[in-house]
Amino acid sequence: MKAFITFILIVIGGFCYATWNGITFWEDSVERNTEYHSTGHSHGGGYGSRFYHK
Amino acid sequence: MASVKLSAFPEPETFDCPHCHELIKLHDPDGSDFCVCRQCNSYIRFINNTFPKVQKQAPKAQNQPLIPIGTEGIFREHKFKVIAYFERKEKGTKYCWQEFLLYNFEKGYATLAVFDGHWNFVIDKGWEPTLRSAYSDSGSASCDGVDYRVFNKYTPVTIGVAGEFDWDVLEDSPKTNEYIAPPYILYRETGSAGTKYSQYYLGEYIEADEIAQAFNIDIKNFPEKIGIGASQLSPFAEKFTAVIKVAILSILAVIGLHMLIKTMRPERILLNSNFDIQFVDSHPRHDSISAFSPTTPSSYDFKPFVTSSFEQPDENAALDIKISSYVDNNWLETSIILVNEKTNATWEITKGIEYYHGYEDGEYWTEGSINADITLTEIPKGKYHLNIYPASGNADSKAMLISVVSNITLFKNIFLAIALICLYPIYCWLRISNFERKRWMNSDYSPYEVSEQ
Repeated sequence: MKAFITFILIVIGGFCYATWNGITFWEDSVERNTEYHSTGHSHGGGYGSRFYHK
Repeated sequence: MASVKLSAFPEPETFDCPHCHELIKLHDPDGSDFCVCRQCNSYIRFINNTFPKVQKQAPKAQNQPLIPIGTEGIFREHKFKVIAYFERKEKGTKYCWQEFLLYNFEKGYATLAVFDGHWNFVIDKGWEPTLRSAYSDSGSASCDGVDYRVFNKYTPVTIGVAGEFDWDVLEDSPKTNEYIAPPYILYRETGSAGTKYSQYYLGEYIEADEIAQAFNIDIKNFPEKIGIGASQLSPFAEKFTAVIKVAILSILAVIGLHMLIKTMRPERILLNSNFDIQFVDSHPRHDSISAFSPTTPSSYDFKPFVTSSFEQPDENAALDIKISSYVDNNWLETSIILVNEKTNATWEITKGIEYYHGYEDGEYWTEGSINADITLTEIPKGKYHLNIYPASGNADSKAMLISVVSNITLFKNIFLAIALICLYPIYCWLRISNFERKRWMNSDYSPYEVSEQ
């Protein structure tokens, strides 16, 4: 029972942390690029993100 | 009748066996009407409560009693003395069990019965007055608000006996029904001592170590458990109620915490705009069909476009990007790049929407949707815009509604937390269910479907 309650507390703690920070699971297939977004997509004709910076 | 309502065990008395003159010790001399000589196994009855007369030869017990006759112990806060030992079997079968007759000077007899290493402590209505209101039919029974299910029906036969008692054990073969509600077992005996009435007895499953401790017997001498006892409680069943309570409270806590977080971090609409989709026909046809029908399949280059900037004010947040377009028997696919204007970090995702409908075989049908949702998680605080790269099967899609909402409800988190919380209760339930199935394999009255071998 102690192990179960410990597990529950970890689950609730994880749930609160994830919900507060906007983390979820099975998110859509996202390509993250925290530096520079290069071209490579097929629909835009080769426009990089810098192209649109204001 | 056994001597009751005394303040202590009666003083034992001895007498000579009328057959072999072995000294026989009676622990309840006023209450015992029968005894067995341990030397010659004569079955002795006391006429008028004093004169011993050999009636017949008693069947000799095959085993030495695990708890010797005359052993005293305190069990369930009552003083007991073992005064008899019986070996019994189901009539017409090979199933045997042992019983130890316990004598208490206040309330009379109780019994410890053991079958395949599983022990039951059995009492009558003298101990449990609610047994007077017990009732049963062939399939179920009820006593003191507890419902029991029939487990076994048999007629017991005594095949070995030792000690003293107040009824004719060898002539006592009542039709017995066993009803169970683990850890309890209710016995209904009909036809006992020549009567037509039913008597009820209540048994409770007991662990061997409790008996060993009560009567100071080495636990190593106790028989090993075989299989599952009729009234044995699943180890998971004992804590299942508590586990369910904890799980329900935890689920309520998850929902409550979610509502609290939603209050502290409400949903914000960061962007909600309509955008025109512009395209150029990169390979225009110069035939009559394409000239009159812009929806003719061809190869179009759609112009990418950029949304206005929006601020994501929270440290980290989940974003929901919704795209809508009135596609009609058509599809639209778009690559969306979320761009952090300060760090240049990007999140790229491709999403399609399609909506088809028609009329076929007398029925209207539809397929797909004109909306699509994208969830981006853990998006840091900052200023963002979206780069949109649309594509479609034809040029009908002329507009696209894009909305961005932060701090959305992450139902997946709630469902995952609840699923994790429910894991152990489900595991317990499965173990209990498996335990019950195994228990009922020993019964002819199983509520489970019995597969034919």
